[in-house]
Amino acid sequence: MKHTLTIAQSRADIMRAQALIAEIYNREYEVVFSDDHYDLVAKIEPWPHRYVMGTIDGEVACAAGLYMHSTYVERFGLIDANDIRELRHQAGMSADDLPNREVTKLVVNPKFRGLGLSRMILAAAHSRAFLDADGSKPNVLLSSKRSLIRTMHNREGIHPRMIKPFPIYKIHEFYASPADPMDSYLILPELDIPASLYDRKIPGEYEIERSER
Amino acid sequence: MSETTRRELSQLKPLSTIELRFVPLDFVMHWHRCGLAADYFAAHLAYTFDNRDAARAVLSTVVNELLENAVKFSSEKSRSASLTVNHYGEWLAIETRNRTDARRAESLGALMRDLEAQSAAELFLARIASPSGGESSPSGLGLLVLKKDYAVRLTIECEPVADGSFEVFVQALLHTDELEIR
Repeated sequence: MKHTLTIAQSRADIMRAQALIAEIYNREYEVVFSDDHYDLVAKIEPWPHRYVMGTIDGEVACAAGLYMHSTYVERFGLIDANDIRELRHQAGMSADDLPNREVTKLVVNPKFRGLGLSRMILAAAHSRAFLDADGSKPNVLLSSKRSLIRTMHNREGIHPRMIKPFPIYKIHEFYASPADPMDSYLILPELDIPASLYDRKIPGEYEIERSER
Repeated sequence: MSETTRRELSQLKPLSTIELRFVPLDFVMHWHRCGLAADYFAAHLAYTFDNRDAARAVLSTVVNELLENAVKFSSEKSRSASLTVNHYGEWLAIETRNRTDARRAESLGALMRDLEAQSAAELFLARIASPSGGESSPSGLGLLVLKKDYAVRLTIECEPVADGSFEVFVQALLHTDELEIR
């Protein structure tokens, strides 16, 4: 089965991506969204600024968001520029202050689950076409529970670098747990994302690769 | 009082009606829309009061609480729900209708049973001391505040429907004299 990957550009496509994300995040985690307001106790999250989505027969089958600035990790993870500089230094990268972006809100439409789309949207969300359309070579940030890093990112060859544990907020009560806590991570695309994923062309039509798990 | 008033009102034709049919997902996507809609309803209704500022403040709070509840407790966020305000002269009836699941219907039913056994103030303190977690087992604090602080006569009904879900009807009755003197 094939799916079409696109960056949501039009107002209509952005609404389609947001609708799928809102439906799933509200059902699973009781989260609501806002453009201009957030409150992690009241479970109000800020919308990402950019979206990639996969469609099958014209229907949105999966989507992911990107904070282009004001990332979740910086706002709520209590990460600052020094934390990022230190990890870049350890990796042998320049200590320049580059833009910070954050991959977030990866979802698969329940109607299309079991096809392997989670791997496809994870790959698309870590493509240069999505992360770095302007050539600014950003730092990619991520907040995630540990089990997902192990079962999703690492299995696809993406190796996020842990920055520090993510503080505990009410909004994550149905997402993380003491047994599977959240952390903040830094991804240096040239080092931590396989070229086969980072160089994936979007827009494009792709065969869904079934998981070997 | 509330039940009698409600029965009497159901026999009357409202002097004015305003209704919003909505898809809860639209409000989930932009939560600030709840406040915008509540403010619009409040401003619309406040024209019939002398003390418009006082009326608008109370109405906005009550409409916002009922609207947020209808959005939160809708089990299918793409299924249509409604917010209606009927003005009967002496009474304003603010009503929401939405579908929910058995667990949330039971929580709302428990809230009504508790309200029959205790005052809103007692129940509010009890639930503050021992809150239930998440909206899936709602503590009902927002509705209790309406009853406790705004003299709202509250009715909640959950009727089972054929597909296994429940039709939820929430009505907040406000006496217009009480509303205006705030």
